[in-house]
Amino acid sequence: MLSTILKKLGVSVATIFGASLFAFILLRKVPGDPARAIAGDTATPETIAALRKSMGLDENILVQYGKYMESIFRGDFGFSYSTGTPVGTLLSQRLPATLELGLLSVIIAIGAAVLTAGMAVYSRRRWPDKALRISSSLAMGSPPFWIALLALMVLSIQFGIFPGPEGRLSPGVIKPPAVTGLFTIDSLLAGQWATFGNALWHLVLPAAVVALGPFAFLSRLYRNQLRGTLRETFVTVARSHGLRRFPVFNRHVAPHGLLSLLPAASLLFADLLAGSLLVEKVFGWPGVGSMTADAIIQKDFAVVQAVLLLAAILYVVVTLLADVLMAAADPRTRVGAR
Amino acid sequence: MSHASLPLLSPRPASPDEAPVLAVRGLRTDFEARTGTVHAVRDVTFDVRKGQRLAIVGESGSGKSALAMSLVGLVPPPGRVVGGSISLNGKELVGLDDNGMSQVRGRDIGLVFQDPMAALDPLRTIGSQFVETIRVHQDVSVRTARKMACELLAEVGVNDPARRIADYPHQYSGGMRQRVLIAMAIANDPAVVIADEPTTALDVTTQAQVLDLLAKICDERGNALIMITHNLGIVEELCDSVNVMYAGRFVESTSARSLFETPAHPYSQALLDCVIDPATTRRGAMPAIPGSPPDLSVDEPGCPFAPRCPIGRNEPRCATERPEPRTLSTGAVVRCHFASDITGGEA
Amino acid sequence: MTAVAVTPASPARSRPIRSFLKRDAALTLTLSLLAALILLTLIGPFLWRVAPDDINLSAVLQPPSVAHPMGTDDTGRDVLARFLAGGRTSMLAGLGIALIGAVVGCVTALLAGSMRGWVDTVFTWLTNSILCFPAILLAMAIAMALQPGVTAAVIGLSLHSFPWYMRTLRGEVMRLYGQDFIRSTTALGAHPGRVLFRHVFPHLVPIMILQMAAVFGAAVLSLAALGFLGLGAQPPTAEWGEMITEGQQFFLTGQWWIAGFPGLGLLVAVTLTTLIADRAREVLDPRGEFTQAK
Repeated sequence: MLSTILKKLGVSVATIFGASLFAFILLRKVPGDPARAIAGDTATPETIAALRKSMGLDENILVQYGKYMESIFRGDFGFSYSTGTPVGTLLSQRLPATLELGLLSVIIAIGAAVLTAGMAVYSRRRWPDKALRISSSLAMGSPPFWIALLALMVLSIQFGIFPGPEGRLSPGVIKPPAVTGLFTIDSLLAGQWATFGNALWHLVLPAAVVALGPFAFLSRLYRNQLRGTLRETFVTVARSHGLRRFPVFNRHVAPHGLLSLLPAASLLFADLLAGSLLVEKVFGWPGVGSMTADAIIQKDFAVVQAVLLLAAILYVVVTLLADVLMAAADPRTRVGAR
Repeated sequence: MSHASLPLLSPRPASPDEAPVLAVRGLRTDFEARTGTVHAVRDVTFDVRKGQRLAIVGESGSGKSALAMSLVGLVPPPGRVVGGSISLNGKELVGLDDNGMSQVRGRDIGLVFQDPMAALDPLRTIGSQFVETIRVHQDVSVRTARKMACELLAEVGVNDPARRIADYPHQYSGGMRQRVLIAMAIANDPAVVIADEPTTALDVTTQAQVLDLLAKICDERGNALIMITHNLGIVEELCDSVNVMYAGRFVESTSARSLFETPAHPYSQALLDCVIDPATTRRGAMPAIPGSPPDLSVDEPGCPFAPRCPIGRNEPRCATERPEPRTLSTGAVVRCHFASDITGGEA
Repeated sequence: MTAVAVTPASPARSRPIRSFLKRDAALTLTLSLLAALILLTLIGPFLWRVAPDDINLSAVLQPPSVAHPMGTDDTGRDVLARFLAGGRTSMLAGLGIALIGAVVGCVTALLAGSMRGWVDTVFTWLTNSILCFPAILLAMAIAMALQPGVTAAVIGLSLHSFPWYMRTLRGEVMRLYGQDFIRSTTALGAHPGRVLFRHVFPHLVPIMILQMAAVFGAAVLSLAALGFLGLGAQPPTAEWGEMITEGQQFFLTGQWWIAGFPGLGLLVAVTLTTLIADRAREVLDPRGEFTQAK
C-alpha cells in the first residue's frame, strides 16, 4: 500500500509541476505582454523595455519559471500592481472568506445529496426518485450567478429573509477577533453570539447557491452507487438472514455509496471553486473568487498566476487525500489477502 | 445407467406420515417486464418433510431461482408472487408483509447462494456480519453471538475461528466463504435450508467438500434441504426426491432413484442423456437437447416442451392441449400426455 | 468436442438507439424540446425581424408586451431579439467546444492508447496538468492572455474539455486492444491503421456522443459565466451570460425581464441537455462504465 501511495505522490508532484509550468507559460508567452499591460497604452517602448528588464521578462522562460517557483517556495507570491499589495497578503486576507463559504457549501451539498438520494433509493415509491432526478437536473442546469441574482431578488429584497449583497457582516457589526479567519467560528470562540448570528445569516444564502452544482453532481453519483449496491448479492444475502430493509440499507448499502463519493472529491472541489468565483461577485463576498475576477479584468498577472497555482495544488492535494482515505477505508486495500 | 462418480452418501428417506414442514400449493410468480409479463413460476406444488433432501432440477431460465426467492419473499422487483400458497409449519407466508417475512427468513428458512465471492459485504468483517445474523433472531449479547459464531465456524471447518472471525471476506477463499455462508444460514437453526446452486461458482475439488458439508449439517440437525441445481450428479449423490422444472412448472416429481432408473418425462430423459458419462460418450458426440427453452412471457396452450420433444414434435395433441399432472404406477407425478407409454419402453 | 476458432464481430451499437427513441416518450420529448430551442435561436432572427442592437431611447425598460414580448432594456433594445441572438452565440459556441474537444480528445486518445510508451505518458501528464484547473478559471486566464471574447472563451473551454474526452477514451482504447476481437484481427495481419479506424474507433463513438452532450451543457454554462464576468462575449454582441450582467442591476429593482429571460434560456437548455444525456447513458452505457455525472 505504501508503494501505491508513493507512486500517487509522484504523479501528484509531476501534475503540479506540469500545471504550474503550463500556467506560467500561458501567462508569459501568449500575446498580451504583462509589462505592456502594467505600463498602460501610453507608455513608450523604452519604459516597457525597462519594465520588462526589472520584471525579469527578458530572460529565458525556463529561467523565469525557476526563479518564480523559487520565490513561491520562499512564500513570495509576487506583487499585485492593481492593488499595490503583495499577493501573499491579499491571499491571506481573502482566503478565509472563501474557505468559510466553501466549507458550509460542502456541508450543505453533501448533507442534502446523501439525504435526498438515500431517500429516493430507499423509498419503494417511484416519485421520490423522479423528483430527485428532475431537481438535480435543474440544479445542474442552473447558472449559479443567475440563481444568486434570483435568490437575492426574491429572498433578500422581496421578503427580506436574508441580507442584501453586503459581504460577510452587516455594516457596523465589528469583526470578531481573528483566530481562524472564519467569522462564524471566531465569533463562537469569542462568545459573541450576535456576531455569530449575523455572520451565519450572511453566509447561508451564498453557501446554498454555491452548493447547488456540487449537490446535483453528488446526489446523482450517490444515487447511482446506491442503486448499484442494492443489486449486489450480499444485500440479498443479508436480507435472507432476516435483516429488515432499513438495517440492510444502513449498514450494508450506504457505506458503499459513501465510500464511492470519495474519488469524486476532486471534481466536487473544482465545482466549488468555480461556483464561488461567480457567486462571490454577486453577493459582494470579499473572497478569492471576487478578487480573481477583478484581477483578470485588471490584467493583474501576479494574482492570476498565484490563484491558478493555488487551485492546481489544492486540486491535486484533495485528490491525493481522497485516494489515501479511500485506500484506508476499504479493507480490500487496507488488509492484504491471507 | 451409471452417473456415480463420488461415493454415495445415504440420504434419509422421508416418511410420508409426517406432516410436511413446508407445503407449497399452486405457487405463481410473475415479472412485469416492459415487453410483457414473464411467468417465471407457474402453478408449482410440492411438500418438504423434516429431514428430507429435495432437489429442484432444471436448465437456466427454468424458474428455479425465482422459485427459491418466492419461498422467502425476496423476488426482486418487478417480480412478485401472484398466487398460490406457501405454508410453513401451518403458517401461511404468501401475503405476509416484509416485517413478517423478515422473522421467517434466517430463522425458519435458511438460504445458501450461488456465488460466495459476492455474498458477503466486503467492507465488514466476517464476525460483524455473523453476529448481526445471529442477533436478528436471538436476543443474545454481542459477546455471546460471537462465541456462537466461532462454534459454528468450527463446525463448518474453518480453522482457528477465534482469529479468522476478525478477517474480512477477501481474506477467505471461495470455498471457505461458502462454508461461512452455510454456517450463517443455519445459525438460527431453520427448519428448511434452501441451497441455490451452492457449488456452481466453486472449483471441482471444493464442490465435493461443500456438498458433503451441507449433507452432514442437515443430517446432524435434521433440517430439510432443498437443493436447487442443474447438476444431476449432485442430485444422485445427495437427494432423495427430485422435481424436474421446465418453463416454470414441475414436469416430473419423483424419487431420485426412480428418476435415474425410469425417467418418465421426455424432458427428464433428455436431461439424463446429456449427463456426460466418460464410459459411454464417444469423442465428438456431445448429446444436447435441440432447440432452446421457451419464452416465459407467452402462455402457450400446449405442452411447453413439445417443440423440443422427440414425441411431442409430431403429436398435435401436445401442441394444443396442456398436460395436467398424472400419477404413474412408479409414484412419479408427470405432466406429459405420453409419459406412461415411454417408460414402458425402458429408457 | 473440437474447438472452433471464431473471430467475434464487433458488436454494433447503433440499433438500440433507434428502437429506444421509439419507445421512450420522455427522451423523445426532451430531445424535441432542445431541438426546438436550438432551432429557435438559429432561425429566430429571421422570424423576429428586430435588430438585437437597435437602440430606442423612447422605449427603455418596458415590461413584456405585444410589441416587445420580452420587454426592452435600458437603452430600449428589444430583449427578445437579443435573447435569440444571444442564444445563437451560446448554442454555436457550446457546440463548437463539444466538437473541438471531441476531435482533439479522440485523436490524442487513439494515439496514446495505441502507441503507449512515452507518447501515452506525455499525453496523460499533459491532460492531468490541465484538468487540475477549474474550467472557468483556465478559460478566464486564457481570456486575459488573449483578447476577451467568444473566440478566447471557445479556445479556453475547449482546452479544458479535450483532456476530459481523452482520459475516458484512452481507457476505452486500451480496453479494446486487450479484447479478443481486436487481438485476433491484429493476429490475422490486419494493418494497424485499419484496426484503429475500422475496429477501435467505432466503439468510441457512442461514448463520445455521451460526453459531447455533457460537455455541451457545461460549456454553455461556462460560456455564460465568462460573459457574466465580462470575459466572454463583449458588448454589443448579445450572449446570454453577458445579457444577465447587463440586466443584473435592474433585476434587483424590479425590471426582471432583462436578466430573467436569458437565465431561463440557460436553465432550460442545460437542464434538457442533462436529462437527454441521462437517458442516453442508460441506453448506451447501461453499466455506467464510461461516464459519471459531471
